[in-house]
Amino acid sequence: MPAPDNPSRSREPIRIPWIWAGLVALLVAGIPWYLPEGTIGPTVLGMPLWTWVTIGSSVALCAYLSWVLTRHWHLVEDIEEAEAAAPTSDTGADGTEGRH
Amino acid sequence: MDTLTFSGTAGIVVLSAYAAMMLLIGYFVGRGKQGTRHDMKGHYLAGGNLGVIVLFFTLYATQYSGNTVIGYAPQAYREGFPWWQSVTFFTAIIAGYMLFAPRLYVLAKKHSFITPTDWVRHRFGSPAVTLLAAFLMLWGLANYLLEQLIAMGHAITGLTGNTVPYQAGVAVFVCVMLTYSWMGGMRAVALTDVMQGVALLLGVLALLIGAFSLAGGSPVDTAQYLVDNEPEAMAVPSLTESINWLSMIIMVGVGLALYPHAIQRIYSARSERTLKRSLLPMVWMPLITAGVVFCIGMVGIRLFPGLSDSDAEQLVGMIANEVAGVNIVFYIAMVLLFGGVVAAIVSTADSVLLSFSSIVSQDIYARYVRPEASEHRQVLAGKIIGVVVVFGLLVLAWNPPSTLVNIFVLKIELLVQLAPAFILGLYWNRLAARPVFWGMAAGAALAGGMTIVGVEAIYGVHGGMVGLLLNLVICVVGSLLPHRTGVRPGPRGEEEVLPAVPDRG
Repeated sequence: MPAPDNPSRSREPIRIPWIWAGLVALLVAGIPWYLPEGTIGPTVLGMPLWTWVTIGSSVALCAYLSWVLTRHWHLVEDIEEAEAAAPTSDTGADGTEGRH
Repeated sequence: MDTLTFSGTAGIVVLSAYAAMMLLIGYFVGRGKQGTRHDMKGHYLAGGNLGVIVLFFTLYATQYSGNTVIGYAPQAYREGFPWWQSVTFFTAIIAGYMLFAPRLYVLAKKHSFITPTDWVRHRFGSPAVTLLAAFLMLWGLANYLLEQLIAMGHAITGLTGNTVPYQAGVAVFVCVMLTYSWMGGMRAVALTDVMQGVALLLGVLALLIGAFSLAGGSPVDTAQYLVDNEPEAMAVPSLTESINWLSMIIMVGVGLALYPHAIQRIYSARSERTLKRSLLPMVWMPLITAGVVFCIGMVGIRLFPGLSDSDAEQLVGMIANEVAGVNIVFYIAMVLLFGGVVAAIVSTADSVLLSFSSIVSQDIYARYVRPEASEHRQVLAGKIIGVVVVFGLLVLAWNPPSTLVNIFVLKIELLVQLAPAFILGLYWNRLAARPVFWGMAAGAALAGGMTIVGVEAIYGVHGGMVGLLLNLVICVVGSLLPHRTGVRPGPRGEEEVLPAVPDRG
C-alpha cells in the first residue's frame, strides 16, 4: 500500500504524547487512591461522592477515546477512499460500505 | 444457573431456535461466497472485507461473552463498587487497540497477514520468536475456549431446567458451532455474532429493569440502602486494592486488545474508516454492557444479602428466577436472556476456535508439517485440528474448575506478554529478535509461576504485569546492547509504514 499523497494529514495516536497523558490522567482520576480506606463521605443522589467521580471519569474516558478515534487516527483513509471510488467498488458482508 | 425455576420446555424451544438460526446463517454464507470454505483469507478473515455493522457486532460479541453476565455480576456482588473497574477495563481495550491497530491494519493489508503470528514472523524473521508467540497464543486461546465450554454447559443446563444434561447440552452446541464455522468461516462467525450480540444486549437490559423493579423504589433508593446497610460495598478500598484496580485496567486493556481473535478482526476490516467506525460504538459499549451487569450485581446485594462467595456464583440465576415470576413479559424476557447468554458464549467460543484453527493451519501445518500443501488443504487441516482440540477440551470441561474469573486472569497474564513484540516492534526499529524471545519467555514464566505458587499479585500489581515489566526490561536492555556479528536488530517495521509525521494539533 503506497504512502498517502498528503502526509501532513497523516495522524496516528501513538505519536501524540498528550493523548496518552490525558488517558493516564483520566484513569488515575477514576481510582479513589486519594481517600483513606473505608471512606464513604458525603452522598449525592444516594451514592458517595467518590463513586460519582469514578463514574464521571469513566464516561469522560469514553468521550475522550471517541474523540481521539475520530480526530487523531488517519493513516490510509484517503487512499482507500480513492480506491473505493474507482468503478470496481465491492459491496461486503453488510452492504454498508464500498461506495464512496 | 443450575436452579432456574422459570426454564424448561421454553428454554429448549429458544435454544433450538437459536441453534437453527446459526446453522442457517452458516449454510447460506458457505453457499453464497466463493472462497469462504477453501482459501485462507476467505475462511479466516472473511476476505478482509467486513463492513461497519458486522465488524462492530463481531467485535462486541467477541469481547463480551455470556460469562460477562454470569461471572461479573457475582463479582460486583462480592467486591462492591470497586468492581466498576470492569467498565473501565473494557473501555481501556479501545485504548489498547490504539497502541497498535492503526499501523498493524496498514501492514496487514499490505502484506496480506492472516494470523497475528504473521506480523511476528514478518517483523523479526525468527522461527524461535514466531513459535513462542504462536505457543502463547494457542495456550491462551485453548484456555479461553475451555472457559467458554464450561460456561456453555452451565447456561444450557440452567436454562433447560436440568432436562438437558450438562454434557449433552455442550456437545450439541459445540456441534452446531463447528458446523456453521466449518461451512462459513469468519463470515458465518461474524454474522451469527450480530444475532448473538443483539440477544445478549436486550436480555441484559431486561434483567436490569426487572431487578430494579424487584428491589422497589428508584435506583437512588437502592444506592441509599447500600450505603446505610452494606457500607463496605460503597466504601473506598485500600491503597493496595486501588493499585490492583489500575493494574487490572492496564493488563486487560492491553491484553484483551492483543487476543489473537481480536487482532484478526483488525485484519478483517474492509477499510481504515470501517475499522474506526466499528470501534467508535465499542467505546461506549462498556457502559451499556459491563455497567449494566455491574448494576445487576449491586442490586443483588439488596435482593439477596449475605450470600457466600460460592452461593453468589448463582446470583444471575437467582435474580432471573424472581424477575421471571413478575409477569409473562418478564418471563419471556428471561428465557430470551438465557438463550442470549448461551448464544453469546457460543459467539465467543466460535471466534476463539476460528483463530486457534488459523494459527495451527497457517503457522504450524503450512510452515512445518506440509509446506507444499494447497490452501484448500491448509484450511481443511486447520478445521480438523480445531475439531480435535474442541473435543479434547470437552473432556476437561466435564470437570470444570470452580471459579470462572480466576481462569480469565490466568490466560490474559500470558497473552499480555506479546505486547512488546506487537507494540514496541511496530515502532522501535532497534528491537531485536533475541531479547524479544527471552523477554517473552521470562515474562510468561514469571507470570505463570506466580499463578502456580498462588501469588496473584505483588503490592496489588498482577503477576501478568510483573512479568510484562520483566519482559520489557529484557527487550529494551537486550536491544540496546551492542550486537554480535551476524545478529541484527529487527529489520523491518518503521521504514515501510506510513509517513511518521508527528501531529501536535
